[in-house]
Amino acid sequence: MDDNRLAVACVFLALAGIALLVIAVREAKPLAVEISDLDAGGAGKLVEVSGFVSSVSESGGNFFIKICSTGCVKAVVFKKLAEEMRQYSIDLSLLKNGQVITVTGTVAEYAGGIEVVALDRGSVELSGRSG
Amino acid sequence: MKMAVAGLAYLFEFAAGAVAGALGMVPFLHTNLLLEFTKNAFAALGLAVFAAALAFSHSVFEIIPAVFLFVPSGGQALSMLPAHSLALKGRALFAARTVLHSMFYSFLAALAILPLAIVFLPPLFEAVRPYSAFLLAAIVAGAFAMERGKKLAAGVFIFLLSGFFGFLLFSFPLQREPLFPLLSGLFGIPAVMLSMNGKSVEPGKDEAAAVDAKMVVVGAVLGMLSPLLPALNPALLSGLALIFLESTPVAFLQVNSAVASSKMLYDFTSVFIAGKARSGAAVAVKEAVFRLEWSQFVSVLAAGAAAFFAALAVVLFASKKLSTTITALGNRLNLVVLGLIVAGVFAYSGPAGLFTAAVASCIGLVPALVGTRRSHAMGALILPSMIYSLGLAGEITRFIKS
Repeated sequence: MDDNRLAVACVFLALAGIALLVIAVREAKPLAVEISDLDAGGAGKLVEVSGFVSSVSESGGNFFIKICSTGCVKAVVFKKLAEEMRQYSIDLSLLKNGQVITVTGTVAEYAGGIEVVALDRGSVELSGRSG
Repeated sequence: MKMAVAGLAYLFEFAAGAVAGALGMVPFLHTNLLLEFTKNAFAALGLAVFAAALAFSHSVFEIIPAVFLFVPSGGQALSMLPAHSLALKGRALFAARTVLHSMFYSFLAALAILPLAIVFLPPLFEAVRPYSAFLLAAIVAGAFAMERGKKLAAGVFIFLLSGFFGFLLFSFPLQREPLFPLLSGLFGIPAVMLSMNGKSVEPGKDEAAAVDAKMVVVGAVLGMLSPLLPALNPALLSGLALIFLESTPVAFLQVNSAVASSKMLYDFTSVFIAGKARSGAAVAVKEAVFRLEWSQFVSVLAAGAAAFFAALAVVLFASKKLSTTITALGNRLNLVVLGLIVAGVFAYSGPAGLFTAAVASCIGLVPALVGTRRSHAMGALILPSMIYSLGLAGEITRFIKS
């Protein structure tokens, strides 16, 4: 096989491998991490963090939820997603301090701090109140 | 006196790191992999001293296999590393000596500008952070500027393909540590496979090293600036520098080695002055030292520098002997090394790692086959960094999972 044909074969094999990876990724569950383990090195990773709601604030339709357990981290739900959640699952304006919450999202570094940006309308789950 | 006693306390860790660095002679036995298997033997500042000594010593010893092994056939000349093109012309020993000398002088230059860096780098980190994605894009565009026509198109395709692959690996919890199988596949396995068609290399005639002060200074400064952005590597920075400087294989070797040794110094420095770790060894240091104090910085740097100069002395003194020994094994080593890489990937990352390495190998072979630069495959690290810096990870993740 000449170099060009081999290159085309390599590209097709690579694309097939990446397609398989996309299928696996779509089924993959997020990594459950301790809040204290979150740092800028994990930026971009899909994670799941759990703890209790320490505070909730809203600005321009965006929600900022401070979640604490082994440490504290800010979870961000942007306006469009918050409205979707209100329609289909959860009204974030009704969140109360002390509620046990699990948020799935991507880790992001913003203004020197770490936050978890909620992924979709199923990203916020509540399971009662802490102690 | 107190410093001297503290220094002696970590003599064992220093010696262990410096000696373990000699494993750089074994192809593709990367510092990160060595650290993964050894770091539990040490703790706190001892681990930091070990990691620094290992990383600096390894960076010198790895020159020997890099120059004398895995030389592809002449048909892949465009993607060939500059040291290999010199090796094929019977100047392998000259290439190795030029690299080692350039590293030596660049390290001294990097040390000389250290006080300036300590003052100016922390505010620079803050100033650069909002623009890091755009700066990375500019550097990548600079690397593409050296390509034309079909090769440019192929380069962009390889960058995007490897970048998307890297994004999938680093963003989703499919395997514990994807970096080793990814880099083995993108660079290690293709290098071995291509060199199977190549010819074995002789050390060549006994030429003195060629050191260019301009290249050394440019390399030292680029190495100092490299921790400002994630995913920057010496090859990318050297390629960028050579757009403005003389672009020959020897010039590339000089500036690339100068960037490499200066970058090593500043990877550790940036941990202490900005809390940023840009290499596996720097991450180990950051995790090992709880309080980033100047005394610890001096200990880590002293251990690294001592290991670096000791390794340089050994390799320079024995370069001819080492190169003769390693080239005598020549092409027979290829299958053994290929087997070692595959076994290492499996031991480290399991079947998922083998899958990653296989896909990455397919991508890594393309640049050589179409005659463009191998460094475009560094998109696997650079593109995810750009996506994360731009805050686009969530959007892309949502799109993939929808």
